[in-house]
Amino acid sequence: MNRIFGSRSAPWPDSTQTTQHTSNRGVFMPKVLVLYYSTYGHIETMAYAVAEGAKAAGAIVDVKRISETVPEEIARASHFKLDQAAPVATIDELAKRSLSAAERGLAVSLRRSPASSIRLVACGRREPCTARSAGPLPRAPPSTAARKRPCSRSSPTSCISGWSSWVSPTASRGR
Amino acid sequence: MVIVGLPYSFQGQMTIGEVAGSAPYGATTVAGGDGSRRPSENELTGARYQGELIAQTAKKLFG
Repeated sequence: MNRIFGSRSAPWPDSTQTTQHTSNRGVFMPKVLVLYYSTYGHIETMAYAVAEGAKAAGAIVDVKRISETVPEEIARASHFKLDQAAPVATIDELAKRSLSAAERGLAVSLRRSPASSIRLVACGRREPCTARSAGPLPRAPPSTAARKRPCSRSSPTSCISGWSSWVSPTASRGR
Repeated sequence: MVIVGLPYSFQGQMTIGEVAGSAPYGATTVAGGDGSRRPSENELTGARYQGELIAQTAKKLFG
């Protein structure tokens, strides 16, 4: 696991390149993707905390982010945090990955505001899966190919993924 | 579909002594109107808790 957390130069290698789902001792290691969007860096910090927790539980973790869709000029003028180390996830990769996760996986999302969200996909897949995409992604529609692809899960009950509701800021503050 | 939220077993979300994010649907943070507040240790603990929970759940279901 140190290969994920121990290196400063590349702290979050792409686990889609990894097919290993078990440690050297044969312990099953789920793959978790922490996918987030953060305008000002609050959610970025939260995303890495989620990743730490998943890693502590023995998962192979990736942290990736959704691309910025606000024009750069406006983003700079509004002091967006544009220097975020997490690699930008591509639509194709997400389609592929969320399909993989759907076979034997879970998803979680955390939303602080409509513009800031974290999506987690945990995956323990062993076979290819062509189930449909898990749902709408923040600020990036799923690819047409992913939407149109028929769901051909090997077992109808094995597609697991999802996404939580938006938590209102008022509810969080009103204590 | 399985949604893994942040259950009340994460006691930090019952905090009333300070401003605290977190909700049963998942870890949250409160940024403040001008974004000057950063995620507190309590909120980060909630995020770690949820990360751990999803990995453990995946393990139990598929390990």
